[in-house]
Amino acid sequence: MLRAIRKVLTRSTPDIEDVAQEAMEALIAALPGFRGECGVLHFAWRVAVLTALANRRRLDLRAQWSADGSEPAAKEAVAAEPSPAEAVVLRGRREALGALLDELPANQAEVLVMHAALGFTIDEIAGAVGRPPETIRSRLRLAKQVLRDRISASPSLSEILEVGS
Amino acid sequence: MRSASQPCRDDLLARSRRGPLSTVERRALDAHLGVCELCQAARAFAALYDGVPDPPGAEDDALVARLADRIADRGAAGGHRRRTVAIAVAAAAALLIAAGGAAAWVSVRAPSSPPAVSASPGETPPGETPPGEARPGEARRGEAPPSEVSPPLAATPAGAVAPAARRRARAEHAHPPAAEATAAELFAAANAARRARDLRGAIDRYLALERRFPDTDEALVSLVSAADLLARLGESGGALRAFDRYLGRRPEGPLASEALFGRARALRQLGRRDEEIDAWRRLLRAYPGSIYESAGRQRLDELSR
Repeated sequence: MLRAIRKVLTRSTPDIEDVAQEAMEALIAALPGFRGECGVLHFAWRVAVLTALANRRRLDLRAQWSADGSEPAAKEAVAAEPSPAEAVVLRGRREALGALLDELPANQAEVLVMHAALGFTIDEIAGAVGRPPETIRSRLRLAKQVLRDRISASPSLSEILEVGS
Repeated sequence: MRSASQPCRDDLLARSRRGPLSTVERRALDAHLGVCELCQAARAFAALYDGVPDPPGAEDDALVARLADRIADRGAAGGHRRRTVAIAVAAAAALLIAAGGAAAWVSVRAPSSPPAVSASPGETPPGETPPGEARPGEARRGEAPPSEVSPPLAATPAGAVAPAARRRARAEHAHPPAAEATAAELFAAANAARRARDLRGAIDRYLALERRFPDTDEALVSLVSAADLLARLGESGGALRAFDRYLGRRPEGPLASEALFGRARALRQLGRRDEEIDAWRRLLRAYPGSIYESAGRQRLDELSR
């Protein structure tokens, strides 16, 4: 879960502890309502992904505030990177992942991360999300269409994706 | 690339993320990937996700232990039985630190749910329907899947453990799924316009979203986003009104510190000195130690000279 939170946030930030706490609290609050329609770990991961996606937007807004010189510096720091050349590549991947996640509606981003990144099947996601498998399939298809369109339209993104594969 | 005419092999793609497929499955997936640009895009996304570095920190154990203590203490202070809280926190902590990826793939199916979870207060045994909730296949308004436990854009503030089922029921009554999806799409379009530097277009979309779907979480975030962009365009009066609308609706919401900060800056641009002083003081009082603290103190110093 911690790894999923970090990856979805796509940044190293002092806020990670707050986000992790929020995910834990959300999970504890959710456990009484857990209906056993999916694995406990699926359920927990879903809470983590949703919490991280919600916080991405909050942190993005903070980053916007600090974007112009008159703002207080954000307390975010890029994770330690081994060399300048690698740093450029890694930063590109982080930014590309963040931009893709931001571009998608939250329910599509959630399904895409759970399926393509964390390896949940459609039925498992349906159980965790509490929606019919067809709805999940539809959200996934829409997310993949956006991805495909973005890749087609952006040579730089294509390049980054090839580097990342 | 060509689009595949056959259905996507979604489950093969997912299972390939957990571990090696059989030779037959691998061939089937490769054949599908050769013709399906949608699944190629999904695989590229997975590679990108893997390519973003995340060295699991040795400090993760310490972080989880800290969080577990903090939450358990708060739960006990809040009147919950200490042992019950501790069990729930232990379960959450164990899940929090569970590693992702194929090596740690664990499927804990409902019939063999671990004791920590089944010991959670008030849990309904798997497969049973709690009183007042819909059964599978019925309308879902009474269910409590985790999406609304921590819904996008309305994250539970640190320190608040919200009753999941009630929040979900409220959210679904407030805006049915179709409207929710449309609000989300409008929000995504506004964000895209902002990234494309079409500030006016982004503002129009954020404000349209707020007008059309005032009860959604996206609308609340849109208010702050629109206010920010209005301020950048020098329209401080409009920015101030949007910040005030957000604070009026969510005085302690997740973006309240951003809204208070923006409000103070808008008042500065409008030359309303006394109100600006009040705004900075309010921000410092409500959010001591926030990232805006030093800017607030510095500005108050300037105003006191």
